[in-house]
Amino acid sequence: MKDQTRESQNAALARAAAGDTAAFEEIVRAHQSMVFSVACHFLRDPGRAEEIAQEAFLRLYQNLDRIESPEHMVQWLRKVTWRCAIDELRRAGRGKETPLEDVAEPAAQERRGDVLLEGRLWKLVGSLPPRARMMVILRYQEDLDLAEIAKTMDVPLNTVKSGLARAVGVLRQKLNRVLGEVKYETA
Amino acid sequence: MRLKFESIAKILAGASVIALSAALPARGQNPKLDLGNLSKLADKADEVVDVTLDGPTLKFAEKFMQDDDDEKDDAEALRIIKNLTGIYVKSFEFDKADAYSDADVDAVRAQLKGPGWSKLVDVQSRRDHELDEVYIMTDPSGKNLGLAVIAAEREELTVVNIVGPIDVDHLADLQGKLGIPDDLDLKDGKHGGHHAH
Amino acid sequence: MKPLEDELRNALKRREPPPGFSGRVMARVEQLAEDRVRIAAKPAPRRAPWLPSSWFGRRVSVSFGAVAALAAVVLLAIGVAVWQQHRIVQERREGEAARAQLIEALRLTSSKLNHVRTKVRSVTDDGALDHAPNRHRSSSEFPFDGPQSVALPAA
Repeated sequence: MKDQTRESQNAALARAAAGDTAAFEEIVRAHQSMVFSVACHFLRDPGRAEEIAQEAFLRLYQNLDRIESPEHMVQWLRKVTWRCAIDELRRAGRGKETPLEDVAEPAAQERRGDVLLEGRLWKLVGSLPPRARMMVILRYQEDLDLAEIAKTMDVPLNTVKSGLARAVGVLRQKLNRVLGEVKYETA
Repeated sequence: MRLKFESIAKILAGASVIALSAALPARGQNPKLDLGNLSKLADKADEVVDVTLDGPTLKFAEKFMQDDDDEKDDAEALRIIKNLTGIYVKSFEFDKADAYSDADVDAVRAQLKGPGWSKLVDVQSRRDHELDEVYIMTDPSGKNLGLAVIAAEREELTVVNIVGPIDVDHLADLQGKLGIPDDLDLKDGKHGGHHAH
Repeated sequence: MKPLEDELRNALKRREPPPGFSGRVMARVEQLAEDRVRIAAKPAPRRAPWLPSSWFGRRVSVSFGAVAALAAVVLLAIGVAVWQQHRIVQERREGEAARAQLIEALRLTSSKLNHVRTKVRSVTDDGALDHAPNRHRSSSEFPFDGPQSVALPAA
């Protein structure tokens, strides 16, 4: 859907809302990596992440008539994924951490940078408290600004400002400890 | 000499009245302020924080907080709000100066001249055009009953009223613990107003 | 040195779900659609075929009304369960909102109190201005030793 024009996105949405399952499948394919990744980075368990992702799309299917536009749909999907993920976390307990090796590799991408560092960072993000963890995921995976994060998570903007700043600070400190004298500064 | 039952009952009743009087605030003391006159400032504000948490709502919120290591914010907050019966905040950020008047704030200050209220601190800065005041209400025995804070700047006005026994030092010490960084350094992109109801 | 934010973006790159994900979603979607069709289908025949034609030697005839009544009870039970679930979700949302308000209120209040405390300390520590003649040092962090009024020096 990245390459589709806005018109074709609107058309797919309209067809899906009218009951066209092929159009809905297009929508699933277009957004599956976003939804799955949010759930997977949050829960650190690809199995549970897939269940959450499926649940999010099922709820989308049942609520297509409430979706106003492709942008609204993306926001809606993020919001429902967050809600399903936090419900799952509460329902099933904190769960155990899945090693990075068991998580699907980024598809067809050239691996750059320090793989070891990425792995450590991924684990450190997973060690953050749930709300802070989701703020970091929405900021750095989805590149949302603070107002969008606040809207997605239904929390005040100031809560996001302070929560995210503290989370990044904690990650920086922990990473410095792990990596010794290598210092990481924010831009 | 045996005391009659009626005499014993009278003595007990009298003792109860004395004990209750010591525990209750003096007549006329009311730690809850009326901040309704500030609501009109929301229309002029760029950003509003409007929090009204009375007793039952505070208890309701507590149910959704976790007192464990994974949610340190919640654990700190639970310690602070224990025994509180109300938290009221009106905070406005304006995009230009003089969006509110002295009269708006004076209506709140007038209530803080009531029985039991005493001003603990006021800090004025002509350079920063800032006035910060902290008031506390105590009962005749010296127990804290409530707190009020007025922070007035050129483009921001915040009034806080907390009802119940609050440890002011403990609350101030939350800086750095309640999701408040020591060095907030985050570009926030789009910035819109919001209401926290 | 790469900024931490860039490394976070790398570590949190989007990942594709396991192969066949969209197919599994569509299978559930189709199941959902079939369930809807089934519920909207014609009512059961007057004679419920799954009941034995004789029961204890007597011919049993089940009226359409009885089947409809049973279906109504089942649907009512489902409706109640759905409503209860909705209430639970609704209550959780309201609770989360109240919690968020509480944290925000405490954060803001703490911030203001700390700001005042810092200003009072900055003035009284350097002795430039001391408008509280009866102030005395206390072990308490917050200088609430008694009424204090300080005016900070202008620029």
